[in-house]
Parts: sequence; structure tokens; C-alpha cells
Amino acid sequence: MSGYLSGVLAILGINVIFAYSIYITAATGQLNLGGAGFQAIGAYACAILSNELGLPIYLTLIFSAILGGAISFLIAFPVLRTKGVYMVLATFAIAEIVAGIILNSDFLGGPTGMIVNNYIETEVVLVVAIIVVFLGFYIMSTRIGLAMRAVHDDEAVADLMGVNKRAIQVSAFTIGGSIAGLSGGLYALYFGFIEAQYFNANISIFVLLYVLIGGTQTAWGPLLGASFFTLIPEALRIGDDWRFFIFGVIIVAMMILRPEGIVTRDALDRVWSKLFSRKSNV
Amino acid sequence: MSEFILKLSNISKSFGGVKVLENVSFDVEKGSRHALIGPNGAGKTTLFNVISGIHDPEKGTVYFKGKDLRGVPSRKRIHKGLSRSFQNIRLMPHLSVLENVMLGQHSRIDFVDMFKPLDFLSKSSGKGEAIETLKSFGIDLHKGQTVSSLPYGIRKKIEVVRALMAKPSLLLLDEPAAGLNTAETKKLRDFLKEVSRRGITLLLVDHDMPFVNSLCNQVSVMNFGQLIYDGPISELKNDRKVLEAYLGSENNLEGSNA
Repeated sequence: MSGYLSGVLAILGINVIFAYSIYITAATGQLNLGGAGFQAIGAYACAILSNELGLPIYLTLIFSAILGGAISFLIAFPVLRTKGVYMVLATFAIAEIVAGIILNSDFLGGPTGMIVNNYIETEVVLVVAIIVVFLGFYIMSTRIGLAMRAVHDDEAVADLMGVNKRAIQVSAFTIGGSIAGLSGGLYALYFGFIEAQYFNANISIFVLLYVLIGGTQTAWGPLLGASFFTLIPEALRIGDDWRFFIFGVIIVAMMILRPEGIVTRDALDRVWSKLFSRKSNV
Repeated sequence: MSEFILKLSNISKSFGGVKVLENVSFDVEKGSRHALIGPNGAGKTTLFNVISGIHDPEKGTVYFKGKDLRGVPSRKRIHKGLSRSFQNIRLMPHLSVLENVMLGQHSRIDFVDMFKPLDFLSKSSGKGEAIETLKSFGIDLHKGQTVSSLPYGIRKKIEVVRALMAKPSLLLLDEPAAGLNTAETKKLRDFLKEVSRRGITLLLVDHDMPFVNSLCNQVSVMNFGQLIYDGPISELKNDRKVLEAYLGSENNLEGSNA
């Protein structure tokens, strides 16, 4: 595997994992624009545990996920009191607070960043990505997933059906934060260097776009969205100067042509029935 | 002595100074098919919202199976056997028909079963039951079919099936016949009679008098937030207060059995 291909695959893996973190929250109807903040938490947790305590890689990754999840859980209660655009702003603010803390902390390396003493290969990233994708599909295939989608569609009716809306939303937000933390840990270990400036608003916006353009209705959405966003700019490298322009045009076109995302349930249903020509009852 | 499944005692509710419900009291007999009628704005839907826990009454008490429902959140009322449908269809637009119906089972599912993937467990997951129930009410569907692609009448019926999946003892139906044509209304009536035969008490709001007449045996009439009649449906057309306040003339009450 060439260095370039291996690098692209690792970024793809990290982005796919990151996309599932935002997707799990979005599937319950909550938009998290603070992805970079949770990713930064995981990255710094991983770096410090590697550097200061010399913990093995798998442990540092587990702690990245736990810390991302724990902090998400704590802030889920105030954040989930907000709705719609206010929730977007609240989560955005959280990411800014995280960045602010890192920039002002000498222990965390401040603006100069931090070198990570451990290193992982692309294969590790890809294996973790596959596990996270399966986890995403698994959650959405259970009654928990059904309840999450019900809360997304109509909170009041889901409540009357006996769904504990708050528990579902807090759990989704927590799982999302923990997956984002995991993606941050992988980023730190793969690139060997982290700095607060990397975990910026752009990253948060992009990961939310992966999910929204991929589609929030099925677990295929984040996989396709993240792949699309990671691979298309790479493919457009031939056009060099024009690549971001062309990419922008593609994004706008996607939003116009498929406002509910690339993968919708109806589209998936049509594909399945064509593939297997099943007209059977339910 | 007859047994009451639902007792409403002096329910009052106002929104911003407007009294929507004023001392409403009536009982719903177990196993009955009870109608709640009244002109638009009489407070029928608000009363449904009070019973299902969306609104807290300012005064008065809702007793369900003899127990005071005060302090029982809306989410937990379905666990006690109280299920409902809505005036405007409120099926989940992004869920398939089957998923919508399975959502209705949510209150009966064990914690552990919540974590089992639905596609691999057709029997234990309740999926089989959902498919069978849909079939038994004449709804046979293509896999994964979404709700939005279906005709209004079928969606209305699916909403009732979803409410039934909780295995309620009392089913609240808010205008189930609204927007249905004559043939669909007739089918709905037979369907609800079948539901009633399965031992479920019905409390329904509707404006379609022939439908109400041919389905229900008890009726409560509301006007401007107050109860003006409560009794057997056969006596309704002899009640002067109802005639004057609500229906205007005797003819409106008669309604053929279509």
C-alpha cells in the first residue's frame, strides 16, 4: 500500500467514525455542531495517557472514548434543554470552550500543540472504523434505534407511546460523544501530533455535513457521507486550483437534488426490491 | 352495578384566561363504546389531552381503573393501559408502516429485548405479532413501505392499529372518521366494533353522527367547555338542551346507519 493511499484510508476511517458520532445524535433529531470539541477531548486524553502514563494503545483509545462519553453525558442535560438552532449554537459554544481551555493550558501544550509518543498503523484505524460502523447499524436495528427515530420524527407522540425521550436523547448524545472521543484518539495516534487549531469549527461543520448529506434516515448515511466528503476532494486533486470550487458546486447540487441526504429509506427500499425483486408481504 | 374504567371528576382547564374545560365530570363504563361529541372548540381534544397527560388539569381528577392519574407522566399512562390516536394523523413519516406499528408495542417490551436486532428475530421481537395484527385488520403491506405513500383511510387505520399494539384497556380515538368517505367510514365502524369485541373500551370524539350513532352506545356532549348531556345514545335526540345548544334541529341527530 502506497503512503498516499494508506494516508487517505486512515483519514477516511477517522472521518467515518467521527461521522457516526454525529449521526447517532442526529438520528434522534439533535444537531451537534461541536464535534471538533469532543474529538479534541479524545485526542488530548489519548496523548496525555500515552505520554505521561505510558499506557498501551488500546487502553488509551478506550479512555478517549470513556472521557468523550463522560463529558458528553454531563453536558447533555443542559444542552438538551435547547432545541433546533439553539442546540446547534450551544454545542458550537462547547467546542469553542474546549479549544479555549486547550489553548490556555500549558499542560496541554497551549497553541504549540503536543507530540504523541505512540503510533498506530492505518490497519488499526480501519478495524476500529469497521467496528464503529457495525455498532451504528446494530443500534439502529434495535428497538432503541426505533425509539430514537421515533423521537426524531415526533417527540410528543413517541412520549405517549411510552418512549423515554430524555433517556434516549441523553444516551444518544453520550454515545455520540464517546465515538467522537474515540475518533480523536485515533487521530492523535495516527498523526503523532495534535494542536488545538486543528480541532476547529471547520471540522465540526464538515462532520455535520457528512451526516446531513449522507442522510440521517438510515445507518448508511454517515458511511456514504464521510466517504463522499473524504474521497471526492482527493479525486478532484487533478483539477488542483479548481478542486474546492468544484467540490462546493457538488455539495450545493447534492443539497438541491437530495435534500434528505444521499441515502433515504425510500431509496434503499427501491434498491432492495430491485435487487431481490421481493414483493412479499412485509 | 356497572364498573367504570375512567372517571372524570370536575375537570377544569384554561389557556390564557380562556376557560376551555369547566367542571367536566362523566364516567366511561368498562367495555362500552362511548362517544364524546360537541361543536368545534367545545374542549373535546383538550379533554383527551388531559386524560392522556399532555395537559395537567387546573382542577379535578382523572381516575383510571380506580386510581388517580395525577402525577403520572404522559409517557407512563400507556403502561397502565391508556392508549390514543390523534385528530391529525401522527404516524412517524420516516418509519415504515411495520415500524410505526411496532413502536406501539414499546411500552410492553422488556429492557433486554430493546437491545435485540429486530430483523433477525421475527417472532420474539413482536414483529410477527405486528404483521399478524395488520393482516387481521386487512392491511397487507410491501416490506419497508413508508407511511406517506398510503391513502388517508389506511393511514388512519394504521394509527388505530398502532394504538392497539400497546394492548390498552381504554382506547381514546380523536376523530377517527374525519376525512374518510362513506365506504371507509363503514369499514372503520366494523373495525372498531371488532376492537370492542376484543374487550377494549372505546372513548371517541367524532363529528360524523351516523357513524357515532351506529357505533356507540353511550354519549357525552360538550359545549363551551361544559358537559351538557351524558347518557345512552338512544336518548340523545330527546334532550332539548342538546338540540338547542348543539345540533340545531332534530334531523341532524338521526343519521342513518349507512
